[in-house]
Amino acid sequence: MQNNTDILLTNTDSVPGRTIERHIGLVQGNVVRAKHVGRDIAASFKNIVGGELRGYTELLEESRRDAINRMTEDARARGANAVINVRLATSSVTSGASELYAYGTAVVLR
Amino acid sequence: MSGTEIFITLWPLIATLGLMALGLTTGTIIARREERDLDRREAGLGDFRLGTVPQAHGSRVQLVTGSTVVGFDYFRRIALFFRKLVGGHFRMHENMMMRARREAVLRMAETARADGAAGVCNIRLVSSNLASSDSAMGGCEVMAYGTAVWD
Repeated sequence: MQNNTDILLTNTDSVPGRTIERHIGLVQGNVVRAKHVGRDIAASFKNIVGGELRGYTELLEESRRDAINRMTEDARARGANAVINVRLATSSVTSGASELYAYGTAVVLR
Repeated sequence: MSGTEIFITLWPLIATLGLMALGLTTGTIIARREERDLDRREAGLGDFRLGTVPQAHGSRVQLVTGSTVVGFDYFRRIALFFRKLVGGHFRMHENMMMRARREAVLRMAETARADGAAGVCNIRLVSSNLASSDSAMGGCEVMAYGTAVWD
């Protein structure tokens, strides 16, 4: 997952060779994505034969990228240059819709 | 009763058994093929470092992710239904979930490696169920994420 921005993302609690100058606080981003009828039909066939449901993999990858981007925008708006300790989570909001959620600690690194 | 009538009466049973046979065959073929593919790609990673320790060392770090969604074939869904009556391990799903995790980790590792990273540390694995309430659709998502490090 490459974000072409100047905000550094990591899921470790520090960045080697850099010191944390200032803690800004929790930043988060989420996306709730409904499944797609066409992809559902394709997936139901795939559910007879088994194997990877590629349509859903792509859908969730896109959504996760959006969730991370929203978190990154939140961090940028608050003057951070990095988000550390990033955590990613998924939950089913209702049947047929998934929530992708990213959160972390925005910091200013020196 | 003619042969046609018997066929029409037993049609739901024939369809179910047919789908189960199809699921068992294709599911097993796909599983074997995935297993071979995973073994080959894991060997191809060479000395790329993968670990769950939270300390990152390197000149540069970056978040990387990898994910996959697996579907359960028709045979295994029916088999699970019967398994639920008596309880216990369900080996077919255990194997399937472990294959999905390996796939997610590999995709993450390959993304990082393609960018020239030396390894991924602080790897976390999470999974979630995408199944609809009627359980005819569904699948299970497995995601791996971690911090890629460059020497």
